[in-house]
Amino acid sequence: MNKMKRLSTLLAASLLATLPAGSALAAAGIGIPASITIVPGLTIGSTTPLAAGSISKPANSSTTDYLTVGIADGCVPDISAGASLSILGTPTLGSATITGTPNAAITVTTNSNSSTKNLAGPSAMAMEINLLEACLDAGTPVDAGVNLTGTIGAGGSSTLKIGGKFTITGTHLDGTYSGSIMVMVEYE
Amino acid sequence: MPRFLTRLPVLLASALLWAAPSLAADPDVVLDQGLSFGSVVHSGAGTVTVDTDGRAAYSGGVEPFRQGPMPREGRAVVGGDPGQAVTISVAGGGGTAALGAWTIDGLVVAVDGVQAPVAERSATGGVTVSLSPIPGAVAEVRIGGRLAIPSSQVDPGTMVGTVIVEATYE
Repeated sequence: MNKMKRLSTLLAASLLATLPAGSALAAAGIGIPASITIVPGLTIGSTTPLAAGSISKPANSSTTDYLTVGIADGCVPDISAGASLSILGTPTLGSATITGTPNAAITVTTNSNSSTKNLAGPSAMAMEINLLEACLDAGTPVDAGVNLTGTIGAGGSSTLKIGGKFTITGTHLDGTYSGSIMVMVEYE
Repeated sequence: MPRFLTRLPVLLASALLWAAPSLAADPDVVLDQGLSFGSVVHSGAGTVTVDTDGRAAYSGGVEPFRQGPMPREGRAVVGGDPGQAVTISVAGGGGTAALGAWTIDGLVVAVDGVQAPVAERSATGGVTVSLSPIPGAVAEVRIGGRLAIPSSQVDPGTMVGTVIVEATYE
């Protein structure tokens, strides 16, 4: 009798094992990681003007001469003036600090890709700056007519410098000539 | 009585033999790849939406940063008994999930590798599919969603969260 009981028990256990899976709640799950990375936007600040300083214009009204506030390799000033000009002040490169994501590649557009800019002066007289050029940090200058590419420094900022060639004639009216050079920076 | 005793072992042996093929495999959910909203530059309130093909769209003050991690859809594979009907639930069947302090809304799901593939649709309420009758075949689940980023100051860095995917036999 005991043998019969044991056999019945085994049979019942086997039958239970045949239950279809659908009759029980069978479920499984997993967590899918979700993520987003935020990087700082680009900003341009701490600007200084591209300045010719104070210049004594040519004595002869028919003379045209040039003050070049240029950039040499290594992004350093390269300043020269025509013989008919007297430089009374200190010409300086324009500069701006660009901040953003460290080591990110950027493109800088200067003066809307035009290499010439007219400064407004007294009595609607203009002064032309041509051969505008720009460089980043210790890089090589490029003409403003083409995009300047480079990378943000490892510390999250870079310095942009802008140079150009001022055209000064004996007919220019005395006074201050000024204008703005637009700079746009974007991530590549 | 002797005859009865002789048949019992036969019955028992028979039961043991045909019971084994009927055992069902539990559903199994395995991570394939995480859901990534990529890398963005934030300048104000906006959204980034990733569809189930990993394509991203941006609105408002959110722009892609192409030099960082790229957007991609979340992927999981669901296995189980061939031909078995299974309900795949994303984020508990709701349409939202948390990503840090932000909310992924508009969760969408698509399923391939099943008897009737499911094109991208809202994940709300889950989706019921029948697994392929081919043994070993799995359902390929793809997940997307929309992440709303507020206008408030956002610190640079990576924000992470988890979207739960579950599979339940019908």
